[in-house]
Amino acid sequence: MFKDQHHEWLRGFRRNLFGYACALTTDTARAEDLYQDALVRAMAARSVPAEQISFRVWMFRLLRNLWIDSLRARKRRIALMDEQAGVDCDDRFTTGGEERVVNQMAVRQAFMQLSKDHRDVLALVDIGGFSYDEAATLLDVPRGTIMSRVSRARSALACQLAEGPVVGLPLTTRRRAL
Amino acid sequence: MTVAPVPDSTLNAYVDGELSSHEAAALAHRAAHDPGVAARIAQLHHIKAAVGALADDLDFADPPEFSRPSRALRWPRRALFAVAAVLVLALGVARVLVPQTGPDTAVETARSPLVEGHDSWSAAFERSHDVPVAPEWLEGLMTATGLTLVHAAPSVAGTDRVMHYAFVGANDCRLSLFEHLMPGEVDMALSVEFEGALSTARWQMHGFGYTMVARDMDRARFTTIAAAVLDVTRIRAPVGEAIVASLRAARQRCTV
Repeated sequence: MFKDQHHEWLRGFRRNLFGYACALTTDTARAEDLYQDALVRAMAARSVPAEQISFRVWMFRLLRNLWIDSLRARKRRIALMDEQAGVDCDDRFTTGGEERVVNQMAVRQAFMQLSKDHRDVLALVDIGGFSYDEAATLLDVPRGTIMSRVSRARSALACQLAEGPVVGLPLTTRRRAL
Repeated sequence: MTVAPVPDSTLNAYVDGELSSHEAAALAHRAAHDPGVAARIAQLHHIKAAVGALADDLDFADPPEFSRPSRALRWPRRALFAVAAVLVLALGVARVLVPQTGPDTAVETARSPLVEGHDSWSAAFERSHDVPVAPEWLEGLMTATGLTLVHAAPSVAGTDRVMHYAFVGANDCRLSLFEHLMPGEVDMALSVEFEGALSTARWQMHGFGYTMVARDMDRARFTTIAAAVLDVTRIRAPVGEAIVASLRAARQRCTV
């Protein structure tokens, strides 16, 4: 059962959790829905982890599972099948010697163009702050899988950045419409 | 004789602080002698920092209030987000447009924008509600100093983009650490300077430049923290117990 202690813990990582929702959905409005659905589901749960780290993993996993459920409901399986997107320019990334100062705006746009799996693992490690072991537990995969996924995801991101101009984001479009 | 390339997964694990101390030290040594490896590490580090900073981005605004599962008030909140985003953007534009005062020396040319960055953050801190994220190796070390990370975001200092980590402690201690890319630059030893209440420390490590800024902080404590942070930027992995113990022992009250 959700207790005051859980509320306190959640305050410590709620922005990270919402950032993870934004990363998964690429849409702030849907991220808000997902985030709130996760909170409602968590507060209604009969069994809530009593240990802080376990609780954090549990919350991220709960949100992720809800997102996968919503994808299935919308029959958007294609988003689950694009693991290979953007990884075919690894050589350029690994052998390119020039330095580039990473532009934050370009990174944000490039990140949103990554495949679902790449966004997922990078958001867990870089936004959620999870270790490889924790991310492996959360995704129920071996640690080595996380290691390779992170590597491929960052390579894909570097490719997106190297390929130049990227299109506007649903996030930006939505906010302008407000 | 050619040296085997370092796998990308190993470089990423290094940047994420996931290698053992021995592995991290070996890779750091390799990077110190191989500009290609150092450049790849630098790029990965910046990508990681940029992705981590997405949570602080304008479009990744504050999440809905935890105690408000109802969706009835969502439009007003979004409007507030939009206003907040415009204000933040306006402040950013104003910061770029306002002319900087001319520095007196070459050293000040490089340093004064960072001191200004520290002072600007410090002045606005009371209004900040960040839930920042920093690399584990940095946050763990700073926790041992008694300082808590309260801000982590890219910013502009002069013409350079830098990563700004800011910390606060008891008695209103406030300290900033700026990290910026310095590709091809050699490592530079720690340089600490004190000008009245202002303390600054600079060093370069593995293609990155670091500047630490604080005001009204005990000088011995500031120097101890700077030396410890320099050490951790060398290995980019959680530090040993001895360093943590020395940092705890060096805790002093800030004089403000």
